[in-house]
Amino acid sequence: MFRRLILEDWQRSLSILGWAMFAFVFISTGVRALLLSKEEVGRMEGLPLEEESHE
Amino acid sequence: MSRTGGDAVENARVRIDFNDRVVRQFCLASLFWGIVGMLAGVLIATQLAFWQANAGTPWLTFGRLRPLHTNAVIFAFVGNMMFAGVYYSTQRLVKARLASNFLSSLHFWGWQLIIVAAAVTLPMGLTRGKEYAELIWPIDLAVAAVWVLFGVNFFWTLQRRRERTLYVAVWFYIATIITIAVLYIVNHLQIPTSWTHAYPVFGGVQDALVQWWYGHNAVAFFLTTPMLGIMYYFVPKAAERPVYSYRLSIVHFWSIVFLYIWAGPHHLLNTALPNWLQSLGMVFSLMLWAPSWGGMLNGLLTLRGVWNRVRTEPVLQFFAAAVTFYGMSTFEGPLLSIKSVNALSHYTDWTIGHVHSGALGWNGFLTAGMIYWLLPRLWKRPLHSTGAAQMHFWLGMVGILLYVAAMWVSGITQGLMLSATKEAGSVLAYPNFLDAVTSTRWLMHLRAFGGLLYLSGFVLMAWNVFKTVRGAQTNDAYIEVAALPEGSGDLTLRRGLFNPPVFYALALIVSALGWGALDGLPSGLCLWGVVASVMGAFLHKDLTGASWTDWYDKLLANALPFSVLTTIAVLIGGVAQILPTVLMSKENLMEGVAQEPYSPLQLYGRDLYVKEGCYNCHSQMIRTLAGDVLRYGPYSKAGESAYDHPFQWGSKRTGPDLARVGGKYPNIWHFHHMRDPRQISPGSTMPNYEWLLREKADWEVIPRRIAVQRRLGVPYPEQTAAEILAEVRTEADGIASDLKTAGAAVEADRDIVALIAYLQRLGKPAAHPAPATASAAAAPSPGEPATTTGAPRP
Repeated sequence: MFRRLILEDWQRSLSILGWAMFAFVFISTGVRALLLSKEEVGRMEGLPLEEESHE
Repeated sequence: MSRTGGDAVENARVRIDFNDRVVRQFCLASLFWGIVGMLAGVLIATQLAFWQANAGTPWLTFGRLRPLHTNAVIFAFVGNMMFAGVYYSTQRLVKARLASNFLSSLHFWGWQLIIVAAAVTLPMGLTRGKEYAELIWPIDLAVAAVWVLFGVNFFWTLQRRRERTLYVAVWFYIATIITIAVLYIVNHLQIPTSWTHAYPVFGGVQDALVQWWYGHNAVAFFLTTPMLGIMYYFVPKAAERPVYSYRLSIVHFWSIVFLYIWAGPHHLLNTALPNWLQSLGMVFSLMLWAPSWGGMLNGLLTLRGVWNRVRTEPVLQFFAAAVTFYGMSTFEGPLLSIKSVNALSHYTDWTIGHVHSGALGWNGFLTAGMIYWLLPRLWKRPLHSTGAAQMHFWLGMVGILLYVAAMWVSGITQGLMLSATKEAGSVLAYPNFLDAVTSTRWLMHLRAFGGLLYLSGFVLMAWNVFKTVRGAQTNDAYIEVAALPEGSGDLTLRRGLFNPPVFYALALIVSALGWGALDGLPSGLCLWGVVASVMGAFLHKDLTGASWTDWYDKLLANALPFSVLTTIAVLIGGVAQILPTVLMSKENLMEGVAQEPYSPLQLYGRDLYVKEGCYNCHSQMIRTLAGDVLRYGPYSKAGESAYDHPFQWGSKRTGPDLARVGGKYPNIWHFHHMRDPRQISPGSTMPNYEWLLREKADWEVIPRRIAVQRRLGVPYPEQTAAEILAEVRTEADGIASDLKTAGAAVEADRDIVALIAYLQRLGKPAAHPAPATASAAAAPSPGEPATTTGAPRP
């Protein structure tokens, strides 16, 4: 009684395409993050901890 | 990029004096407005337990104060805290003073002026009727202008930096500034009818989609991404340990930025929103689970090795609890986005509880932790009372737990009771809506008490801050750093954007979209485009030996191309959802039901409905769920609200849905119900709206409003102002006469008459047939309502 007729054509593929694009972003940034050198990671991690400001 | 600012000397150590004055100002403003916003929250929570707390005055009703509460907490409390955190951490992370003292001050005072304007106009009932976007258009313009000032000041500071690369916190700030600007502008497109009133350009389902694209992402990019940036800076500072995994933070950032923007439609599940958008919203909300928890784990694991200090240091206590609440609320969010769970939770207190575990637990505790950490550094004095800070933590924690638990229980109770059926699903188990209201009233008391405890914690904090800063020195801090050599590592906008990686990525995305969106040969060609993009990228690298990681590394050190690419990442989701819906003709979205324009008097009554904030408690959307249909009538179709500017589907049912209330009761019922709801509905928590019986309607504004509606595409006939006003008079006289016959003497030009005209129109069938389109012919299914809605014009 409450079922509605769904009239959608190409729009439904956007879910799949959106997922595929996210997978692309996720994998590429993940690979890039893994390939970062230890020195670079260490330098970036330390940025907030660099010398404290003082009066 | 020039790094030789006014105080810099090339190849020498330079002294940088930070602008901490504006940070101090924003901290204090956050605390002050936080208490104001929470006080409003406690008051409206009390109103749900005791209707008398509405005080019988229009300024203090739930409908008008609830927007004040949400706006105060989001934009005043968290907003001011965000500006403080962003300005403090950015100066230190990029080793540069804020670019302009003038812009910084203008930003601060402009934002406070906006908050004051909101605090005055919202209780006056001057509202746009869209959640978290209620402020009237002159204030909207001011918000946009001040946000631009913030952006200019921020990016100008990045331009003057003496640190080559941008720490991940700065990435989150960039995403915030860009995305909020886009969201705010699109959702606030409107045409004014006066200095205090406007109609949004989108209507019906389009407005619903744009609103919740904005509403959800206001949570994402105002209450989450800047907080994550602040977490990535302040948690390591407080723990005196580096972030657990910088690699994880990279994946966290890009995943959050790309995913969040797609998830807005989960606010509209089981409604008249096209099904593909509902699926999209649900799928992306579920995917958000992973990066959100990645971020939470990164924050919590940063505290590894210092958990012993968490027992004694309030700052770490607040941070640990805040990050934990981030994890809890980002677990609950995807859960509530599952369509079947949402069928139970939507329109109930469960959603309110979810929002508050994020706002009070994640944002509120992070704010407290950050301010407690900053106090001794900004005012050069130790915190007045560590014990009071710890007391604040426990007051807040117990308050949240009481509040959220009460909302969970009341929300699930409401959802179960209002959807419960018997006799093989053909009859409602609780046909009286008030059963759900009265049976959860004790939980409203608990909710108000929990809120009061949380507020008490912040009042204690205000006292602690006052005692700490009174008479304190406020010298700004400085550092000495080596100046960077000019130009090395720079990436121009052209080189940042027009290069092989960007080209192949865009080709892949466009081809993929074309493959899905087009038919026949063009679709096939786009599929080949997908293959060619991938193959081309690999061949290019193979033949030229190009190393694109170098481009990426430079990108992270150059704010402009980085910001542009972040914008693209954010926009993809919005464009993919909104463009097809906005560009689609209204006829295709109507599902065979064409809304007739409201009569001029009904339109005026609708504006009163928006003014009083009725949408805060009443929805106008009957979902495709058995409980909804049995209780309220045939489910709502998109066409029935196609010309509603703004849409009024609502997000919470403290009272029943009103989509088909028209004609359900006589005029006199509405008259008495508005005057004293408990006379008609014993146990109701609705305020008395006695002033509607007294206030004289300003009919003179109606012709101008109809002119704007016509510009928006609402099919009103061309009429002179005199003709419109004559029509108003005729309809109002009819209703007043009917009321008089029923024993209620009221003049025709009172607000109550217009409001009754509007309420009696809701869901009533219209006389004219729907447009004859393919979808219109195909859409109705057996047992459906009439093909048109709305009463015939008088």
